[in-house]
Amino acid sequence: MSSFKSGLFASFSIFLGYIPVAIAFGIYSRGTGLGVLDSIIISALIFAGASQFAMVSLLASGVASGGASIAALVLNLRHLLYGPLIAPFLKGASTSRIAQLAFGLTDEVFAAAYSQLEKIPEEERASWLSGLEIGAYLSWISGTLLGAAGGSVLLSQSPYLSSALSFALPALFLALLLPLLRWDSAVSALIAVVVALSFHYHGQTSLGILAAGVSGPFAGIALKRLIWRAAY
Amino acid sequence: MESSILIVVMAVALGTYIFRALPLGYYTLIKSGKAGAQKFEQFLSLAGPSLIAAFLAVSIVPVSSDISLDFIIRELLALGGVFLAHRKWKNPGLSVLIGVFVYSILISYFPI
Repeated sequence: MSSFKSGLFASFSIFLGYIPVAIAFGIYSRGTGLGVLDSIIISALIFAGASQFAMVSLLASGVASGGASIAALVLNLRHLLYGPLIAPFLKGASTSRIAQLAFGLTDEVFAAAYSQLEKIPEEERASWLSGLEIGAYLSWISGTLLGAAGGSVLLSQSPYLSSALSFALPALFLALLLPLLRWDSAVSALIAVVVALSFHYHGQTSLGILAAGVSGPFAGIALKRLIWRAAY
Repeated sequence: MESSILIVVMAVALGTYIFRALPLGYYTLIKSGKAGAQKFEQFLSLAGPSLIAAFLAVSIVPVSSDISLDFIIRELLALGGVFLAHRKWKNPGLSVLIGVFVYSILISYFPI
C-alpha cells in the first residue's frame, strides 16, 4: 500500500469522529439561515470545527463581522503549537508541500500525526500526512453536506447511532495518547487535563487547550529536575 | 452567500491557515528541523501528550456541571474498552471502533 493510501486509511478513525460533529455544524448553520452551499463553503475554507460554530453563531446574533472574526481566530490560537511539534517529522519537505500540509493540521489530524509519524519511513511521511489530512477533510465536508442537506431528518431517524458516534472522538484521543505515555509525559498529561478542564468549565475551552499545551510540559520538566536533584 | 459574511469567512480561514502554516513552515524550512536547544526539544516532547490529553478531557466532560453517576460509569467503561483494545492490538482505528461499539452497548444500560 502506498504511503498516501496508508494515511487515507488511517484517517478512518478521524472520519468516525468528524461525521457527527460536521453533521451538527451543517444543521446548526442551516438553522441560522445560511444555505447549503454557504455551509459547505465555510467548512471547506476554514476547516476548524469550534471556530466555525462560534463564527456562525456570532454572525447570527448580530455581532459585527470584525468581532466575529477575532473571536473565531482566538479559538484557533492553539494551532500555533502544532507546527513546532510536527515539523521535526517533516525534514526535507518542500515549501509547497509544507504550505499544503499546514491547511489540514486540525486538532484530530495533529493528534493522529504526532502519535504515528515516527513509525512512518522519513521519506514517506509528507505523503502519509497528505492522505490523513485529505481523508479528514473529505469527512468534514461530506458531514457538513449531510447535515446541511437534511441532517435533522437523518438524526431523528437514528438517534442511537448519533449517540454512539459521540464517543468516537474521546476514543480516538485515548487511543492516540496511550502509546505516548511514559512517567514524565504522564505527569505532563495529568497537569494538562487539570488545566484544560478548569478553562473548559468556565467556557474557555480553546484557550484552556493552549494553556494545557504550555503548562503540562513545564510541569513535567520541573518534576524531572526535582527528581534529578533529589537523586544526586 | 452575502459578501459581508464571505469576507468574515475568508478572514477566519486565512487567519486559521496562518496559525497552522507559520510555525510549521518556520520549524521545517527555516530551522530545517533543528528545533534548537535540548530544553526546547524536551518541552516539545512533552507538549504533544499534554495537548492530546487536554483534547481527551474536554471531549469527554460536558460544559454543564450536571455529571451523573450513569455518565461516569458509561464513560469509564467505554474508555476501559479502548484501553484493553489498545493493549491487545495497538491499532488506533480498531481501538476507536471497539470503543464506539462498547459505548453503543453501554448507552442501553446507562442512558444519555
